Amino acid sequence: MQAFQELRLDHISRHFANHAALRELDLTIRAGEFISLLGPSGCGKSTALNCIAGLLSLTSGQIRLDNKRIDVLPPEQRGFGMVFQNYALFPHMSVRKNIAFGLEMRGVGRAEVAARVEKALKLVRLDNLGERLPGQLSGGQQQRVAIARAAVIEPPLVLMDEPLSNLDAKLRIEMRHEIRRLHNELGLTTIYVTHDQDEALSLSDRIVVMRDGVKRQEGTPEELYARPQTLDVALFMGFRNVLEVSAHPAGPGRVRAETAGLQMEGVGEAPVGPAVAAFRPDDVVLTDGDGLPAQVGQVEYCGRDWLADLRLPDGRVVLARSHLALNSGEAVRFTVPADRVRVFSGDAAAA
Amino acid sequence: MSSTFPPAAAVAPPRPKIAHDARAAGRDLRPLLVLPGLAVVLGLFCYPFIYGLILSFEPLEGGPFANYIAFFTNSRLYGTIGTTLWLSLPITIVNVGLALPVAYALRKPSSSQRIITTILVVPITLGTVLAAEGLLSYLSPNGWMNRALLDIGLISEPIRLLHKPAAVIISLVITGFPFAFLMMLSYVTGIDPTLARAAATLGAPPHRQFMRIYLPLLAPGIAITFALCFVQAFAVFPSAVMLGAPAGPTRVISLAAYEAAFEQYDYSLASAIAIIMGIVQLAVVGAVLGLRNFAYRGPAASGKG
Repeated sequence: MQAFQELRLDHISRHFANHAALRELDLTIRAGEFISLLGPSGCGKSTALNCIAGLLSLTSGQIRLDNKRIDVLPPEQRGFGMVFQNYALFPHMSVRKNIAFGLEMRGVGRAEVAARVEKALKLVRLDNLGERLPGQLSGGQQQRVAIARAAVIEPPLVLMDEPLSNLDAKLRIEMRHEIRRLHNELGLTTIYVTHDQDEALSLSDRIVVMRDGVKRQEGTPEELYARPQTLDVALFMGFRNVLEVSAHPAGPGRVRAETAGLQMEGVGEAPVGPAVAAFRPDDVVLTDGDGLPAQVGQVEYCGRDWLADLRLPDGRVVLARSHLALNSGEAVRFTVPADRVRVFSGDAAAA
Repeated sequence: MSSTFPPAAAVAPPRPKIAHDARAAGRDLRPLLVLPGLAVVLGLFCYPFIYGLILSFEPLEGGPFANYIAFFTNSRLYGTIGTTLWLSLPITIVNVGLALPVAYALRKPSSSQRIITTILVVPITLGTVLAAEGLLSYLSPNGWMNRALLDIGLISEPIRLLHKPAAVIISLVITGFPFAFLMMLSYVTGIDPTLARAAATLGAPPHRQFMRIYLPLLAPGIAITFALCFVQAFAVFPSAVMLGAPAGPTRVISLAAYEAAFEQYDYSLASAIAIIMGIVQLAVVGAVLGLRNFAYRGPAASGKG
């Protein structure tokens, strides 16, 4: 790999006509890291990636690779490997020629090109398909070729733009594993764009959650999973239950949340006043005695467990995961452990 | 057919009731839908063609090949092949050669793409006669072009372009280029732009993106465009008569056929000339499409994307 210490995005912005797709993104990527840009579609994550690759110019800000300013360079001079959502394999070239393309552009000698292509083919386990055209490969195989083509030039950075979104669920999990294996084996630095929180959590060393062109939170997968700082990040990280409550501080970092006569405790800094409490369906605990009363609504069987609608007395619905079978119409009680509830000030409509 | 496909009712499992009434009755009538189209093709294309072919072997005098012998022994006749090729091949190369870079430059959807496309559709709708008519007055010694150039002082006497091959060439570019451009534009825009972006991230500067990615993927489209433009230019008639020198340098093959049919009233010779014209066109088109086989011809997108 070309040695470098860090890639710095210095308040980069990109506007399209009158719309700001990316606003003041500030981020440092260290060599060897696997970093994900996570967010719903239109959040600016792909724009950010294209800006780094040089396929989009910046409206303002700078990109530096160590001390070298690179945002002024065209993509072919940045030398970052990129894996596209639709793979963008050259349909008229064999797998081998596709992988060799980047090396040929760099003027690498013929013998070395052949050797490195062969090595790359082995690495992605396609040694026997080198002469095929991309159209003759399955989606997963095309994906491997795309990764091999980007990695064979030994770029300082590999940029991946939702590379798994065109694969079916089973293959996606397999390739996810494969991508992390290649990242580790080749010692790559990877920036990975996805809208899938599972992918981001399982692959990344660090996750940047984005929304409306703005970085909302940055941290390790554990931090983001357990301690989202805003409601929209929480929603994106799987906090599917959101209840409007009134908050009363109850000790440092603790909040007592009250809603329609029901009481629960949670983590947060919300001041006295209207707030929202968010928690995951997985953290709902069904109890025998205490807890909030509810009636079971629709139940989905998910294999390992059941996902049920719990209807509160005032009509609001809480999603709960249960390891025991639930019957529609059954009366139950539930609690949520206080450290699993996050209370945010403001109201749900603001998210 | 009936031996390989026994009546459906005999083997088919029970089918939904509503559709397939005809099949259930043991007879599928849907192939009959092809008949109107077949009638048109047979009546308007095959019949005249075969009629002309036979007619060409029934000369006014002499054996069955007399017309063909006459054609290839008379330089005023066989010379038209060279004359027509000499006009139409360079024009086709110019038209396709101009259309390719212009279409490539306009490959990204933009307002300029829309405006230029709209402007270029106009000459196609005018037709060759009207375009020739317009050029006749525009290029004439007293036409706009010469008057303007004279008034500016760029020239001291009118440039004479009319009744020379140059005027025919200009008119064929005016009517042929838009056609070539629109065809090339649809081929160029059919190529997934992320391919060029991928090439860029792999280190290919713009000219190599074009040479290594666009050009090979466009090759089949270039061949088709070339073939269609050539056939149009080879059949040139109105502009060769109106703008060119039909007695000499622009005595094209269609003109020879016209003279045979409507001046000498020798329909048989005219048919023979038309057949020869068709064979020359087929030979060139066949050669171009043969070259196309060396190019990649699959989809120009990237796999299953």
